[in-house]
Amino acid sequence: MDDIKKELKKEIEHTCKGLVQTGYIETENIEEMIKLANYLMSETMSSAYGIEDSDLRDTLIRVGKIAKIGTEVGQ
Amino acid sequence: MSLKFSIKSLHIINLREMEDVKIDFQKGNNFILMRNGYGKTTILEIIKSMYTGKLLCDNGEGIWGPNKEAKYGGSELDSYSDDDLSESSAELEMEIYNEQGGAETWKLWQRWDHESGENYFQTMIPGKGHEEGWKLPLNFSNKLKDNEAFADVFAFDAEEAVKMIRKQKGDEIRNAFREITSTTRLFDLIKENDGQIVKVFYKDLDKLNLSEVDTGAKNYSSWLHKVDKLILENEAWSKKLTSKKDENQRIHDEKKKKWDNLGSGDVEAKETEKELVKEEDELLNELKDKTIELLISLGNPGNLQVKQWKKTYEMHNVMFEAKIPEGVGKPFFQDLCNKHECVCGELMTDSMREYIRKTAENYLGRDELDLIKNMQREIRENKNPQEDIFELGESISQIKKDLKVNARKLRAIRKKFNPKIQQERGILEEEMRKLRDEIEKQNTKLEEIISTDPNKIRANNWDKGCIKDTGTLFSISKWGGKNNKNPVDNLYTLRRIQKTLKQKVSTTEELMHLETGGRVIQLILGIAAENVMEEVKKDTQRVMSESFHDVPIVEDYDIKLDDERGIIFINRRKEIQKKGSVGTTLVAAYSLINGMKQSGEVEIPLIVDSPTAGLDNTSTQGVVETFWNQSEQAIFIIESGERDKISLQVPDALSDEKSERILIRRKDEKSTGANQKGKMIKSYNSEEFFTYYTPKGKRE
Repeated sequence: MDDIKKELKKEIEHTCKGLVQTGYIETENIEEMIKLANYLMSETMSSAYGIEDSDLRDTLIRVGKIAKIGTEVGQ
Repeated sequence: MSLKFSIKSLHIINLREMEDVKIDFQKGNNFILMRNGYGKTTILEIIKSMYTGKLLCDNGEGIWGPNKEAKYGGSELDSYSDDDLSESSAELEMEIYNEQGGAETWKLWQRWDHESGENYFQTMIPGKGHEEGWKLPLNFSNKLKDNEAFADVFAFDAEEAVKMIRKQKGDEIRNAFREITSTTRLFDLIKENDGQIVKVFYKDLDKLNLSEVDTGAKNYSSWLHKVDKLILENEAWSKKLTSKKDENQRIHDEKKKKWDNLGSGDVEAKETEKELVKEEDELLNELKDKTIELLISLGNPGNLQVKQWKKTYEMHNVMFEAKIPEGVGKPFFQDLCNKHECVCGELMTDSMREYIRKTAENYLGRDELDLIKNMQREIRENKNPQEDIFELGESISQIKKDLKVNARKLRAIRKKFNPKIQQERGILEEEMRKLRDEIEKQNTKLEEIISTDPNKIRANNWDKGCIKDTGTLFSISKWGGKNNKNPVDNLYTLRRIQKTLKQKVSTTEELMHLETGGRVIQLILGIAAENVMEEVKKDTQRVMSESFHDVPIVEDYDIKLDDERGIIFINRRKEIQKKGSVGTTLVAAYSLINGMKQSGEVEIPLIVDSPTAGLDNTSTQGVVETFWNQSEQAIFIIESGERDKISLQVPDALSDEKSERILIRRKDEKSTGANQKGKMIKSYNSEEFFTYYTPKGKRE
């Protein structure tokens, strides 16, 4: 699983950089975004029961604050 | 390796075909020889159930239920009392390697209590002792807990595996990949319609009673803006009204002074008038006070004595006399019907439940009970006893009579004044009356704007129905914020609405962030996970294909993992074949295991029931030589036909050096003939392993 996590981390970083180019994430927030996405990935995969709802909610709000609000991401 | 373990022993007691069998396993290849129908499937199923934490019960609810086949059905129970037979159990002892590479011995039990019908797990954790439930370590649970598709890859019945590979679809392969790479929970997190992210978002939306985030947030912000504006307007209005009222009062007082100074020339009449006016003022003040008191008393349901209240009061008394606790109503009896026992301890029967259901209809529902409780509270908090209403009514009538008498006296005295003075006074009186009316209106409006007394606000409907009986909530639709028609002017109410709206706005702002954050993370993790899975699939494909070609099979095929169709066979002309022969398909299954082992970073014992089923002699040799020695531990459950085939093709496979041979048979069974009953016994590496029972017709 550690190898999978390493690969996922690489891909997360790559994807976040791609989103900067599309304008969904500001360059100054890229590191924070990568950190939060990695945290969610790692917590979800490490715990026997996944990430707790309250922890997930708080982290997503932090992501939402640094992403562009109202952007039609993923549509 | 993120998961490495081996099985040390399996101990089955009083379960299906077995009374009491403990099998010890070694590293390397273990062969269990037993007849068909003696429990081969039970061994495989119990191990898979222990791996995944899914109880081996037959009704899907954790209860073994009435399936008597769960219990051992043998006739010789010489070593057990009746008490022992009330339970069945399976104990799996494993050596699991921890993150630091050290091996620890874990024990997992699955038990069936035939008295209560319960089926449950217990775990012995190294260094901690026994705990209830399935508590195997994180590296184990990450790979195998609830992951049946993955468990099926490493513990399977070869005949079933052939069927499975033939039927397998792309999504099943995809799930197995997610399970072996421990990414199942990651995909569950980001799933588009019912993933954890979506669920967390909808939970917040439900809490705010909204159907979507944008509308709610927009409405709350716009309403808050209106409330802010209304508060400012009403604060300014109250100042303006106060100043106008004071000005009116000043003009009125001047006129009154002028009116007072218009003497009649008759000193005695003037003095009498003064006294009568003073008395009138006192009476009017008293009338005002008493009227307010009466109004407050009338607002108390305890004082109303209306029909509905009387009924409620009587019903409460009946319940009290029947010694039914306050608050007991229909919901209590409905809950009682769902219990196994009554409050008295007696077991519930259907007829008791039917009786209670019928009787409960006569009791009050939750709404009525709430009403009663509210009325009781009003009575308890009532500061005005019931008789006050009548006394107050009498006092008010008397004051009104006194006022009439006083007015008559005044009119009589004033008729004695000269006509000119009477005329001037009449004009002033009319002007003062108008001023008083205006002041009265201004006072009422001011009171509406600035009152902070919740009872007075509610009694006068100055909150327009926004504040509910609990005193803390408000109804957004009633305060006039939507269309501003007849809005609330009471500042106390408006400030409460403002406070609530501020909270809602702050929450909906969070909700907007939550929605955006969820969508961004779904996108990032979705792309990342799919890319990684694609790489894993490529690696698996490579290993699988190499393993497949290591075994000589009749058909000259290649195999591939297909997103739509699962495992597919491709012939030399690059054409897709619908299916391979049984042998080819089983070799594909073994190849898939090899591929999965690499991708999943695992060293898990390979457990196969009928491991060479459907393989011809050449393929048997190929499979044995290619796959059977690649696992640190393998357990093959075979019957005598397979034993003979393996002995013939690869004699070395069953040698003392390369295998642990376990024979399981009935204690006194004959070596030929049909399956028999009786105590199950086992022997390790005995010569009998090679001679035990060959079905009729196959004996050499």
